[in-house]
Amino acid sequence: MSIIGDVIESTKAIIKGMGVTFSYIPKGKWTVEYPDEPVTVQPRYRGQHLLHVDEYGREKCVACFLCAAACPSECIYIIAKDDPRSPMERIGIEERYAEVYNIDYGRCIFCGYCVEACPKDAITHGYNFELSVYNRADLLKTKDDLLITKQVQSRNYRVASSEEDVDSEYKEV
Amino acid sequence: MSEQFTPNNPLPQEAKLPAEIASFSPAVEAEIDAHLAKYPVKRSAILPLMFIVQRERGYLDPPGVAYLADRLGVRITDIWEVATFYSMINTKPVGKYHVQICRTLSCKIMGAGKITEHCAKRLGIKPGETTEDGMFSLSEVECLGSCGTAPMMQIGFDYHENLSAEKVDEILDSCSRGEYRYSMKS
Amino acid sequence: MSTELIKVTINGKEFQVAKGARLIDVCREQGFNIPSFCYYADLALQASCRMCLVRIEKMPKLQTSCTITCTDGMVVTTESEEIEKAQRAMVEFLLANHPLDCPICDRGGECELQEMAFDWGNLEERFTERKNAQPEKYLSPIVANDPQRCILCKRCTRVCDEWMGEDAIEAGGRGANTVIGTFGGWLNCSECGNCIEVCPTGTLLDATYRHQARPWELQQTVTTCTYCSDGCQESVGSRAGEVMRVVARDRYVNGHNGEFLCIKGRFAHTFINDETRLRTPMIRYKKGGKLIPATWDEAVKFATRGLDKAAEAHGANSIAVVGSPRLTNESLYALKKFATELVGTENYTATDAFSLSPFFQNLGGQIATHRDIRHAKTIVLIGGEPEELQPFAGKQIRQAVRNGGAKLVIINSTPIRLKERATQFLHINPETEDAAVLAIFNQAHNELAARKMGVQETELIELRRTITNTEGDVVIMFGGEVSAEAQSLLAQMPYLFNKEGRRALLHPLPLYNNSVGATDMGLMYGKLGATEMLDAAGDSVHAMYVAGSFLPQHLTGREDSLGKLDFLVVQELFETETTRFADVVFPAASFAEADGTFTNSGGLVQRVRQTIPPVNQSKQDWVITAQLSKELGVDFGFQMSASAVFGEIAERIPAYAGLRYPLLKDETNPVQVKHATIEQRDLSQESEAIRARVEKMSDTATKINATPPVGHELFKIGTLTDKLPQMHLLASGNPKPPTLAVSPLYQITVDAGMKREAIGGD
Repeated sequence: MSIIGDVIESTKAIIKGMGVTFSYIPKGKWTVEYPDEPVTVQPRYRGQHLLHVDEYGREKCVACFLCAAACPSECIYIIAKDDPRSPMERIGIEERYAEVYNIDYGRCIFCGYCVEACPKDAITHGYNFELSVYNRADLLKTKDDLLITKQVQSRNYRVASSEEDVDSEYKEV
Repeated sequence: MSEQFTPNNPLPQEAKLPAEIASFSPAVEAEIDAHLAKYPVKRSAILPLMFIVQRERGYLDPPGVAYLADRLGVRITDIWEVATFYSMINTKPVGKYHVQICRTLSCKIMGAGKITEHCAKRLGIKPGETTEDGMFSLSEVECLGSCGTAPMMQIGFDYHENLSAEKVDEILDSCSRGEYRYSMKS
Repeated sequence: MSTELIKVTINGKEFQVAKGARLIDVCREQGFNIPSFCYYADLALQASCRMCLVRIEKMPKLQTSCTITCTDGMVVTTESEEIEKAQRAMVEFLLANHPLDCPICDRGGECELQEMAFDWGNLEERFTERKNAQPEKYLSPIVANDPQRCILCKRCTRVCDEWMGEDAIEAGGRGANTVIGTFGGWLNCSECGNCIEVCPTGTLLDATYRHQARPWELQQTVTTCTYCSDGCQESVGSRAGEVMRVVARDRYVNGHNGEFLCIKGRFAHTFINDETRLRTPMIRYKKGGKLIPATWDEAVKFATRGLDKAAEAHGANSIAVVGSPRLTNESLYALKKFATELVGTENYTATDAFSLSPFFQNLGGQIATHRDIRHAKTIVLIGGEPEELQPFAGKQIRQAVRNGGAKLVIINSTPIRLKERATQFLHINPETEDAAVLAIFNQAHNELAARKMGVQETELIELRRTITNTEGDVVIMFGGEVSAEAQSLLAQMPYLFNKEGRRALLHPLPLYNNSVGATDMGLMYGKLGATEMLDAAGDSVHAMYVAGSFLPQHLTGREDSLGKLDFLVVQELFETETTRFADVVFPAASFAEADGTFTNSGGLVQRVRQTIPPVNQSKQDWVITAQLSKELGVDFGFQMSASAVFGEIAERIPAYAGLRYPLLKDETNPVQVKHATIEQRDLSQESEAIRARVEKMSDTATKINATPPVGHELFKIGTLTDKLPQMHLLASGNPKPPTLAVSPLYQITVDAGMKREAIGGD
């Protein structure tokens, strides 16, 4: 093997490689300009959980612990409590409600089993995905972070409509 | 149909635990003794005694229940159990005319539900309630053995058979005018 | 049931079964699963759920196997399309009115109806009619009721009637409107909660645990109850170091008590995690000063120094060691060892209401277990009030009479509620129980005893005839009213009444969970009793080491005795009258945090298991004792293991010989301690002493005619029951709240004036 042969071979390889690179320059960029532009998420995206309320603002959760039982990573912690007040004054829709409802996002694997287990449709996955924090303890989200009436929604996402083909946008890369 | 009504459930939830025990005149006591003497086991006389207490006191009130429990040597819940089972034992005060509409099968098929609804509308009360003036009480009762002439109702111990809305109106009118005469004495 | 065997064919297989056996039991024993709701062994038959249907050849229809007694040659089919169809239809009927609120139902997860619906329910419901909705309500401070969930199996009403003899809960109304309830809507019963336990659905619920936790996340630990001497086996459900509930449901525990528990055992467990529990060891550096939190090392050193000083100044006998009949055998043994082997004092005792030592010193027969009581043919009850003080013994007596046809003779100065079931009730003058014992022991004293007791002589003759005519077991039970001498006479009675075909058994009725254990461990054989010890305080006793507390009855009139001591070491759960004068207080672990054993009144030695780790900084009583002794220079060699302590008990105490924890593992077959029986001995001295005492009794005493109200002992507020808020409502006469929809705790405030006088103690 001569040195000249090596030079020719490597030059060929560089040209081939750079050819691919240069061929993409005119195609325009594919990078998502997050956070300057919102990300498009799927309608069934599993983001941070939401605890729902009914039309009167009462929490739908009855603290049945089924989500905690279904959770494979055991990240849900609930303390149930009795609410003796009349139905309209109550915190929840039933006399039993969750006094404490914590999800540890350090453990959560966003599998969605809790949502499936919920008999009252009280918990669903929202679209919030910006969960990074500076302190690990802050990954524990309480009811104040999870309730739909209190959760601060990020502006950095856009939910695709169900007909929209979001995936193909990313596929080609 | 009667579905829109709350179940006719004669639960004396409001009744206070009887503090006192009813007492009766010597004549009534003698009648009670006569009934008690008929049965080898005292508690068997529970029904005749209930009727006597109801007749004397208008309805089976807590002191009456306490009296029965005492006389028959049974617990107060036993009396409650029997009293709530039979629709002819009233655990709440009833009006002057106690309209009891049969709701068992034959009558139900022949339209007892409509009759009840009609009565309820006319009297402005639900089954199990008494009008404010104390004239009428309305209740749904179990079979009174007059299936051949269904639908039927009972006022006091009188049977009114083959009812229709008009016929009911007629009877209730005569009651409210004070013209109604009982044909059966208790 | 006779031992004769008959042949029954079930699903094509032939079985030999005992004649008179119930078909459902036989099928289940042979492994054929038969569903049922209303069938409950040992209760009257109901056959209302129609789930246990089987096909019996030559019978026209499907039969309920719970009501069928096996006959020879019976051919039974338990599984077929026809039967399954019928059972599925039954579940559909049961669910017709049942709400779909399993997520908020406390029974969800351990509900028999839920399980049955899984196995036999149809996916689709054909009933489209409106459900018969009824609001949830409270039946008492501790019983919550959701009538809509009821399937009318009537287990609760039968349990209330047959077990408790109270008939407090009944089925009212008729047909589709039948509901479980009570007159006036408010339960005024002994609040045992057994109706809650046996309910197969969520109709009757524990109001103290309402909406607190779900069963699957609780860790259930089998242990022994800490209240009375019955030693009921219970399952403690805990979550994250907190005791949430106590149940006796047979899916968790199968003790000698079945599913029976009383109000104290079932509900009064809140003291375990109470906020007022002692947190750290505390030292009072100066007499009359305040108790100041300290470290364990410091407190142990301070305590040993104080005890040492007292021993040096006044001798070993000036130190008294006092245990409590609530402690485990291990703790009591450690205390006894501490007293005799380390300190070398003769002054040791346990703070029991009365001592059983004369009884065990003269024991001439076997101790009756609770199972023996249930199957006894004659029961003689002298003094005592089991339905209030030993509720399980009371239940066994009631069932023996009602379901077993036993004869019950009650000798009592108060017309106790149990007399309703009695075949003979001797209503005696107050404090003449000894006369009754004397008359039973020797009929020559009949005339004297009858006169002093205020009964007819014929009644005593009849009582004796009842005993001597018995074929089977005679159980003689006695309470704390009988004197020490009378206890000796009673202990020797088996020699009088044992005969071919008749066995006389004895059953003491002490008040505390380990009163018998305290006697067995030798703690009750000290020189002084609890009250004498208090009297001797500052006189011959100068320092005291108390595990537990003195009872209020010991302290009345002697409130300041403990203050006369030079040095007082106390280990307790709470601050009590005893810790008021303590120089050192150690926080002790409750029964739920300890490993060990209790010995019940039937002599059954049963395991206490650690349910949660010790609360705060508390330690088990025997650990504290061992730590003190180590500081004093003697290592007991317990190696921080309760089983090592029990091993030593088994070596040293003959009655416990050969026992080890693995042998006590199975709560279904409890082990009875082999108490040494002694030969028949001459008791003329004792009987003479009693006779002399009886003769001094008055002839014209006034009898107590009022039947004590339900709960006059059960609802008494003690150190432990004080921590259950519902108990205060019950102790104040269980007032009916304005509305039943909400727990009375939210509606009624209990003030000090409402509280019934707390006389006894825990």
